[in-house]
Amino acid sequence: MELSDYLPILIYFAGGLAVAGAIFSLSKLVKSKPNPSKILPYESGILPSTPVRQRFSIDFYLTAMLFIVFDIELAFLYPIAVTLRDDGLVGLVVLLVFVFTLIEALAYIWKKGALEWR
Amino acid sequence: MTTADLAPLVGAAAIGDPQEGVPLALYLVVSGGLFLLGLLGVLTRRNPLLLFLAVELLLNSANLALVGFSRYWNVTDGHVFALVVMVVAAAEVVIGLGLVVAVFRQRLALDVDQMSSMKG
Amino acid sequence: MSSLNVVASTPLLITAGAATAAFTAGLLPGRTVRRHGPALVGIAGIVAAMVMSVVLWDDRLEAFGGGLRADRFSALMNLIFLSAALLTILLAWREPAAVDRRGEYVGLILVSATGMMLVAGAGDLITIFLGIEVLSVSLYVLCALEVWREKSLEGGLKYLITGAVGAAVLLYGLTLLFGATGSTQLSEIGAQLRGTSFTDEPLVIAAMVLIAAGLAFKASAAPFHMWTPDVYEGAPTTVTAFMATATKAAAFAAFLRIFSGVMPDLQADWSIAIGALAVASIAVGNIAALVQTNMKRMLAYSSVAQAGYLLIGVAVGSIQGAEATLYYLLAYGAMTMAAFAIVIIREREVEDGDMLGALEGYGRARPVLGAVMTVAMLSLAGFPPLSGFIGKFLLFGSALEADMAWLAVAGAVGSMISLGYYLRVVTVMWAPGPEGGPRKVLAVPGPVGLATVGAGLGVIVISLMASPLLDACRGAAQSLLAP
Repeated sequence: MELSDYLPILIYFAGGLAVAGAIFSLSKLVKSKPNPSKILPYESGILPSTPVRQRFSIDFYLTAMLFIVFDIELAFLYPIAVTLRDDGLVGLVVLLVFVFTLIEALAYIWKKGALEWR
Repeated sequence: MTTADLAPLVGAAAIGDPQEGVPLALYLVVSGGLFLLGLLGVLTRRNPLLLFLAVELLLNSANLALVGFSRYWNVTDGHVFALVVMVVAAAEVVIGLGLVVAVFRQRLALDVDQMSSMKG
Repeated sequence: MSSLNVVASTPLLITAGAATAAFTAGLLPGRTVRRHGPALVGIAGIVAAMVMSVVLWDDRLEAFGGGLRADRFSALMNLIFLSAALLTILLAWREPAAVDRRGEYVGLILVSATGMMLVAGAGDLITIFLGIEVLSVSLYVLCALEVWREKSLEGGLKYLITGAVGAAVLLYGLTLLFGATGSTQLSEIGAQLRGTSFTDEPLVIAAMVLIAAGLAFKASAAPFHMWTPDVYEGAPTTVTAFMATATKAAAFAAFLRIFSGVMPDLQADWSIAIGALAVASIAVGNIAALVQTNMKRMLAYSSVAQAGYLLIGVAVGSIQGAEATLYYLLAYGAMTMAAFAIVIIREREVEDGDMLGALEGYGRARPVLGAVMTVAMLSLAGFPPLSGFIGKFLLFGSALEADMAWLAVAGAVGSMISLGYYLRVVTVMWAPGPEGGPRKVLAVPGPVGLATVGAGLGVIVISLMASPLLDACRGAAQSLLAP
């Protein structure tokens, strides 16, 4: 059966627009109306004594970003783990090349001093 | 509204057998909505962090459609594609955050409209 | 796994390996090794990958289960990307941004080239997307490499945001194409779409529009070009030169692979959309370039206009059209690289060396550089014996042959407008300079001079050897369109 038989493209985009419009306008409609006491940080009724917004050291961001990259790259290892038995030696070599590249990247980061906490 | 109520709108076949789980059309409507939402975000937001957020919406709307199509055609290609997209999206955002941190260190305004040292 | 055919992917693997080696060489102890190691490793890798591309010329191989192809088209494109990378590395020999980051600079250029080769050899939608992203992500970093310069950061961030949106739009188009056909393999999609028309497949219309828009972002075709002048101006000029030549070629490789290679039967429908992009780019690029005083911005708008001419060959959809596009890509690469080389040299001598005024009288002080720039400008403007003319002639001719005379007319009118700004550069260069020649002239480092003269000679060689090169381009076009 042709996909087009039951998927009128217009309805698709109309549906898309409706969902997008609904979410967009909903957040406009029900957005909170702030007043001075509403925007105070809530600390059990006691006025806050220290600045609420704390500046984080830029090092946190660096470490977090490096973590994201390596963490996501590891997602590729799961499919390989599932099929490794069928892939045999070739699969193992491919896996090792991949892991070696990651280790090389880690060594690069290490040598550049991005892992040091300044 | 149940999925059966959608039948006159998108055709009975798109709704499919209730036993089959979520029909393709619903995946596509949500995915299309996310995509347009992302486009709206890209067009209206000026803060780079929010722009990255909108780009993530765009990419993940494609991911949702990929997985939906993949299930519809009963192939794994779409799943593989989605995995690749996830990794690429992470790489892109990390570069973006790196640039934002660099801009922050230079104490520039985080507003792409104010970035206008070049004109013409 | 049985179809993991490594031979077909050797140029790619060599380039990727050289990139890793260049990153590593930049970390080794010893100042001299750190300074020259990466570039030497990179150049060796590029030459090896070029040799392998030539060796694979006559083969039709598939690697990674059909995800990557080695045919004449990919071999020709590989040579374009690798030459651009080679010239860029040479031009960046004493680049301030690159001196203490040579490993990163060379490594990222090579990673970007790897992404481009993935696009050119793509046999699968996943490969196309992955290639586009690999080439873009490394370019985002390269653009912002001079982190201490506000314009560089700004350019990098702008490129990242527009590039990411473009890639996401492209991805959604690829997704819909997959949804309409049930496969990500280009050959399978092509088989599914054979003999269909758009009215049968509404999903394909949406897919086509989104893919064309996404690739137009990467090719900086109007109306998706707004990022181009800012990014070209902000990025280090060697990176700009690489972007203007290689990235554009990669975007056109993707255009040809997807539109001409996969949907030939739908040509009547998509040619109008692509033709509209072409006319818009020619108009916007040429008119905006007229008023620029900064060379990098002028060349940016010029590259928008050139993308328009190149799109004519894609819109035509015939083998002649693809052949003309490929030949013009070769010529365009050489002449743009030559023009940027002069800007790069001048920029190191004086502050604001990227302004048109900085070139006043430069041809008299530096006749060789002046000659290179003159050849590049005349070729870009399309003066008869030069490759720019041959390419445009073939492009417009293919449009006439396909009954799309409106494209040829738009191209011809655009070329006439372009005389205004290309010839202005030539007259400024040979004008008598401010009393006693231009301020401050430095010795050009050997590799930079080599690359500059090489690019200038390249323009002339591509003109003189037009007929063997056109045979090669025809072979590449045939391997793409007539499998």
